[in-house]
Amino acid sequence: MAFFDLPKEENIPPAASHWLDELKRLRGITTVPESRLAYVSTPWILEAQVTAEANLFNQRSGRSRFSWEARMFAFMLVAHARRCTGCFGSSRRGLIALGFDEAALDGICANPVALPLPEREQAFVRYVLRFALDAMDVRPKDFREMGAQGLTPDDVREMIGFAAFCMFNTIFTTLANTALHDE
Amino acid sequence: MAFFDIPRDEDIAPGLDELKRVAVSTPCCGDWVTHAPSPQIVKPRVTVEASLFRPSDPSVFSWEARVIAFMVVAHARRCDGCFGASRGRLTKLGFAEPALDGLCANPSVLPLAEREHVFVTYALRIATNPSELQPRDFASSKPRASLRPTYRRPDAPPTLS
Repeated sequence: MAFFDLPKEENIPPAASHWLDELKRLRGITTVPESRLAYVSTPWILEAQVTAEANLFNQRSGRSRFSWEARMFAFMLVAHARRCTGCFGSSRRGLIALGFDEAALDGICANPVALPLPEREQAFVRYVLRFALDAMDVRPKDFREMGAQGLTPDDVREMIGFAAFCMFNTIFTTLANTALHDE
Repeated sequence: MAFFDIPRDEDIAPGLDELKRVAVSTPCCGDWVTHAPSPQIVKPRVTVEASLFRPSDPSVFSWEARVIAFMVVAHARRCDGCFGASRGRLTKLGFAEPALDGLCANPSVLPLAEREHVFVTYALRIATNPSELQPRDFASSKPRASLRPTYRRPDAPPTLS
């Protein structure tokens, strides 16, 4: 028996319904993934998830300084490194919808330096991956290098926020999917 | 010259006052202020801290357990800022520095009730190695009925242990 149950419709608290509706609007979807339904009994967690996604993943705001492709590549590579199958699957679907084929994406996961993106977008992906996986090993000289590559402090703030969101999301998704399944 | 500047007051995004109210980590200093010009960073950080750390709301786990979990995760992730903030909080709660050093060296020896001990142990595993957890790890905690999620009526107050 799985540790988390999926709630029945009538057991979803109104506060959770509000955040599930926000998530549908944000992602342009009609069905909420199980990895989010697993948190309906704690609407404050859904609020944190949706607020972080809306502001840091930036899919609807139109305020991002980087392309949607670059953000999806970064999300895929962090999910791959963190072995989050849920995030990895959703990023792959997003990239396939953008016209990338599976074989090319496998190649990019195996060798993330060969990205089909302009240099500035490649820098975004490269640094997001570092921030997510090795934040403590980033040094002041790395920021000077970012500046030399034309990245502004606001660009880098967005990269830090994006990396933080990827880490945050992999924890919620990985564990919800594990707790929703039996061995 | 540093890459980030500390912003002037007029460049600080709305929402930072809310942060002062909810912040657990050193409020409005250092890393928080460097992100202050960006409302897209400030808003989720404030919401996440208020919603997930829940310093001002009842939690099913004690404040001590949450701050100890924060400290051991910060120690494992080598985040000096979070580590210092958690140590400051724990010192105010009456923990001595040598005792905290001992906890960081060996988190299995926690001065907490069994259920709180389980919270810290799993928070550390979840934060550092979520993909290593298997369904059996959740199953093994089933006898601890209080760790199993429950669906509360929306108007019911949070359950305190």
